[in-house]
Amino acid sequence: MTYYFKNVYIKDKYSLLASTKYNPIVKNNVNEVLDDYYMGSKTIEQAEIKYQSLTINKLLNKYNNVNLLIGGDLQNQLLASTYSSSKINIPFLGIYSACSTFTQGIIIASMFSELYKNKVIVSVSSHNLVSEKQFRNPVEYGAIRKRVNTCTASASISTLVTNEKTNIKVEAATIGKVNITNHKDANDMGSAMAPACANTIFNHLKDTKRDINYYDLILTGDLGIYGKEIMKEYFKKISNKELHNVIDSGSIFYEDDIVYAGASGPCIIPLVLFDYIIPKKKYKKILVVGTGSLHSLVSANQKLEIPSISHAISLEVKY
Amino acid sequence: MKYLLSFVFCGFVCSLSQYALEKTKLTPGHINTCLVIIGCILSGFKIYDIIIEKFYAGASIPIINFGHLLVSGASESFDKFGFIGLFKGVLTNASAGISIAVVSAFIVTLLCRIKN
Repeated sequence: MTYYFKNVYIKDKYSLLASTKYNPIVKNNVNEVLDDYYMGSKTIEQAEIKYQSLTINKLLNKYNNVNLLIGGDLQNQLLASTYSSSKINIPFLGIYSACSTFTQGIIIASMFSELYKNKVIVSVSSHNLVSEKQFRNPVEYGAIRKRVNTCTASASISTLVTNEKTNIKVEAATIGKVNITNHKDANDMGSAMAPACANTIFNHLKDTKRDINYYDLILTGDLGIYGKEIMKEYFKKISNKELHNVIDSGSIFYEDDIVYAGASGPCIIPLVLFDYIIPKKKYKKILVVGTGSLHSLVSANQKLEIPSISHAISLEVKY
Repeated sequence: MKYLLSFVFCGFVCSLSQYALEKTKLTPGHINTCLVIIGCILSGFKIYDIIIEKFYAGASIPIINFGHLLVSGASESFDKFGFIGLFKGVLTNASAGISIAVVSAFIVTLLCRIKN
């Protein structure tokens, strides 16, 4: 299911990095680096609310007449997004699509912007310690992490989607389908998401009748180093074509050598896109493919297969 | 020799547990419970008493001894009070361990915050 947009642009972003552990690649380009898991709050959940409030408020201070706020995070009932939106007087849509929340948000924002000429803020956040508690085991439980584990980034980013012409155009978007394979290991989300990602790229290229080489870059979400290889292999199986221009945001996010598969979280894709890929001024046509693993603690405990999803947005960047 | 034997047995239990933790999908909770159950079974067949005689504190320190304390407490109480003694005495011998665990968990929670 692919939609085209004529007049949708990403005007601005405010990015916040709340931890510099493992040396994130975007460290020097983000708007703010905090390196603080608590921000004066009593709990880590409240700290994540502060992260997201901060990025939203920074954008609101710069731009007036924002019509809608779309927010998402990884906490139960979107705690961080709902609390941070409660402090501002703007209609709010909370969305959950795990680590593909950002691309889903941009797709919804683009629709509002195209149809109703709205100014929309899309905001996402994640907190390492909260995610560990939410999806695996609390850090203080002391469970050994596996090599296939990804390390959730502590960060938040808000972007403004408008009709005003800027150098980043949202040109098309493909909404993915939920994909279930026989994969049950909640530690290895990259492998669970890889088929969904390959399917969405395949469907996008099929719907738009484009070749893989049409895009200078296919930027995937947080598949990790193992998931990325599985995705490429799966794509070759369904399309008989090699994917060579792929960068996986999660795999490159941490510069330090870590034993894990890479970074994860809804913020990874926007952080790498806006604070690493675009400043390089190298890629003009970028297909951004967010990937999300839609399992919960309950589904993992009941040994259910992991459902995954992937949404793609096609960006045209002018330098 | 006492120290050496203690060290060898305790180290053996710990290294087995660490191996299981790293090479299997088991979490610390699973391994903890497994060790307690193994201790219960060994104690039930009176094997754990022999192990303690041979390996001294090395056998009475690791969590596997907790299973032994539960079973030995229950069986001692059974001799004294009959069937109801199974329930009365199950935690008697393990009381010190449980109380210290609860109190120290409380103090640590008060003093420390989660870090990465």
